[in-house]
Amino acid sequence: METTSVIDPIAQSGHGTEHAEHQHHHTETFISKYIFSLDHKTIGKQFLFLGMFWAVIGGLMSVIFRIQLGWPDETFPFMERLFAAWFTDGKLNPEAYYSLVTMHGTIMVFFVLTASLSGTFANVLIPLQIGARDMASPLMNAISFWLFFTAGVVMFSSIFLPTGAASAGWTIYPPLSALPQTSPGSGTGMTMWLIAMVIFIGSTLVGGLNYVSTVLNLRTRGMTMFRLPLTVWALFFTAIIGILSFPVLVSCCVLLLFDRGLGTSFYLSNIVIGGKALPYAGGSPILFQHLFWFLGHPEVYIVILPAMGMVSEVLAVQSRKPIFGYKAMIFSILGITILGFFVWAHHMYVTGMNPFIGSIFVLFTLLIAVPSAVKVFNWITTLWRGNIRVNPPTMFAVGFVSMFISGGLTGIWLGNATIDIQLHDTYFVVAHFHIVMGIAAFFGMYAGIYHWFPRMFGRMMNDTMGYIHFAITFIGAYLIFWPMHFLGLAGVPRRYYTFNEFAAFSQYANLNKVISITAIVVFLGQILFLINFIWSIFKGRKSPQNPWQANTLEWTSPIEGIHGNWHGEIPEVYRWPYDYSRDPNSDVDFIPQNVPLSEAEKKDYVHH
Amino acid sequence: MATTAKYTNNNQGAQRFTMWLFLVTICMIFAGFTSAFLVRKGAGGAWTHFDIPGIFKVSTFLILLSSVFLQVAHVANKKQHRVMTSVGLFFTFALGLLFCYFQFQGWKQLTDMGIYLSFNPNPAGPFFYVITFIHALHVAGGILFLSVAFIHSLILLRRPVSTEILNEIETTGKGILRIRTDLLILFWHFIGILWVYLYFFLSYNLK
Repeated sequence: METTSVIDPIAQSGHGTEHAEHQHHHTETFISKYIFSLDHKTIGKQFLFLGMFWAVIGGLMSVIFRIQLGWPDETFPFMERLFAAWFTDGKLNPEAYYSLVTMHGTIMVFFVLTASLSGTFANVLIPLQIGARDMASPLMNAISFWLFFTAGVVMFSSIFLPTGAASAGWTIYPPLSALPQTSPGSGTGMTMWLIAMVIFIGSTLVGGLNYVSTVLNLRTRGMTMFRLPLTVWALFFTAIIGILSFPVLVSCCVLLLFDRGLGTSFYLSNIVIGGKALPYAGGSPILFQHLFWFLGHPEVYIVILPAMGMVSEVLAVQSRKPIFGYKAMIFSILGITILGFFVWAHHMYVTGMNPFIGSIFVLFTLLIAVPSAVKVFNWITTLWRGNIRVNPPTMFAVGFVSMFISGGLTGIWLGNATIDIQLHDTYFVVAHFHIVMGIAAFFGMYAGIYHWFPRMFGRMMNDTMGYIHFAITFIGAYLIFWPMHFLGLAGVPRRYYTFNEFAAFSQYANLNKVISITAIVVFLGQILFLINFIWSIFKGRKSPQNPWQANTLEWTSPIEGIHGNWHGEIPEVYRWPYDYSRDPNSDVDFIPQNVPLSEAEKKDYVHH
Repeated sequence: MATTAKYTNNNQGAQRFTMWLFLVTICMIFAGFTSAFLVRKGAGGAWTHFDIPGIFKVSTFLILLSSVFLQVAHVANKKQHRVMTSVGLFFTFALGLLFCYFQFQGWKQLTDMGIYLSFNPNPAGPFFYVITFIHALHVAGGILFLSVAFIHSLILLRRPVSTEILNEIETTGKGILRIRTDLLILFWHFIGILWVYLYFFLSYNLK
């Protein structure tokens, strides 16, 4: 690593691979290398593959219930042949509908966008980008994945119970979720949901502790905190949010488990079912909502921050410009992290809360618009007059910014108690959160997958399929969720199985058909992505060492992936990660972090 | 485990730091419980007031005493005093078990006083059970780790320590049980202090 030339970063990045380290005595078996691996790169891929499996299941569930919403009068005998347990006479059972909606939410929010998004990219990127051999504790890292796997096994088996999976919504509000008599899904299905979630939280915490500890303790020489790529900053704060909020969900679930199994009444009071008064007294279902949303709201930032970090990195690399406002980006993430803990009750404006307390939560909620707007401004100004390369990662990163703006603006509506009381539990809310946290996070994840695929598999993904995937997803997502805003403004409630009985809402039957058809097309578009992904692993074009000419350290590590990440010494860091298009007289428009400052630079280099 | 590439990964400090972070998550669990407790109490409605049985004072004393023994084991480990390490770990382990036994007796006395867990028409009593039970689960986890460290120390008692290990201890300042006791004292002292907090919190708020 003694190259000092600023203009020769490519020679730099391939440097060192020939120092064949013959002291490596690999006696790894198939199982220790690919299954119970302790290597962060393999564990990251495991999170990615399992997340893809869950995304297909969660997406398929949404297709099934969209078919019900689009064609409530039709019968579908072929669907009954596929999913016999959920259909009667070719029609989806109402109980199955609620189970599907619940599981779709649970799977997408927790299994895909929390565990897989953070799990994949924190594992692949943190050690490689900070210059570490592996995580602080590779064993804990593996435990994190296998707890996630176990939670998935429990959750997945609950789908096949004769009484059905949990059906009280992904927010599992009691008393519906607490009492088996209230619905078939609140029986064993709900118990398994809770057990799966407690295991899942264990996985998230074990992983998160490790990510934070790794970022703070294992950075390479010269890698100060303010030289970290924004991906690492985002994943770091995501892990901190998880550490502070997920334990509260444990408390929340433990009290619910006691109510369900041991006859306590923490959340239950004055309940009459079928004319029979139940012996529960003295509890409060609102208490559950407070505990749940104390996690539930920070949870949406756990979902969106990694996507934000990856989009920041992708936009800077692909527009060949330094990120605009690097420190503003960091402090806005910090601002979101802190404010995110003081807004949970904006999910509860209709619970009869004191309007004065409501107005405080309105204030904090609207304050989050400030750091969010800073970030949006910085992404747009990063793109502004950039030398933008058009490729799938760029498309998805720009798509993310579009989605985040569209969904963020409706967030300002819903953050106001006065508007929320009107729009609560309508399709407006469904449209808002799907765009701002569902679709946007998926776009960030896709940008990250297309961008770091070469780092993970040593090959490039196919661009043409990538563009088609982008077009279908981008147009389709707006076609699905944009009309839902108008449904919501017209008062159409969410969670309804059918609107046939309501003259006011049945006029939207055709609109619902359009949404359902688009949902099916978008689902098929994701299958195209999967084909591209799997095909490229085996047959994709071989990737060069640094395919995007990026500055961060992961592109200096041998692209084939070795245990310990670097042959010989770990590279030392001399500069921040965003020295793009720095020297107008140079042929090369990037200077990797491990290139020392030139004599000319030493005089006026402003970034630490 | 297969042998993989040898590389130096300076993560001793990282592991202690991770333990601190883990303690933060436990704090958050009990912050969740105690805030739920206070919110429910403040909301009015039925709320039993009772005096916590005196037996919980005994368990408070036991867990604090066990911390003293663990400190002895930790110092002995650093000084490579193998017998004292084992003795200290054994008494910590035994007092931890005794703590759990006394907690169980306390719950029985509470039930005898007529404060039930199930179908109790007000949640003050059930809150006490749940919070102390979840704390006891953490103690049980600590006992598990203690027993691993204890068995490790017994093995070292029987087997002479190789010069290689002794050299490593000499250069790194680690004890014969490596950093095992460093992580254990953090966790065990923490759950001891947590119990003292819970004891005062509950006895003050239930009175």
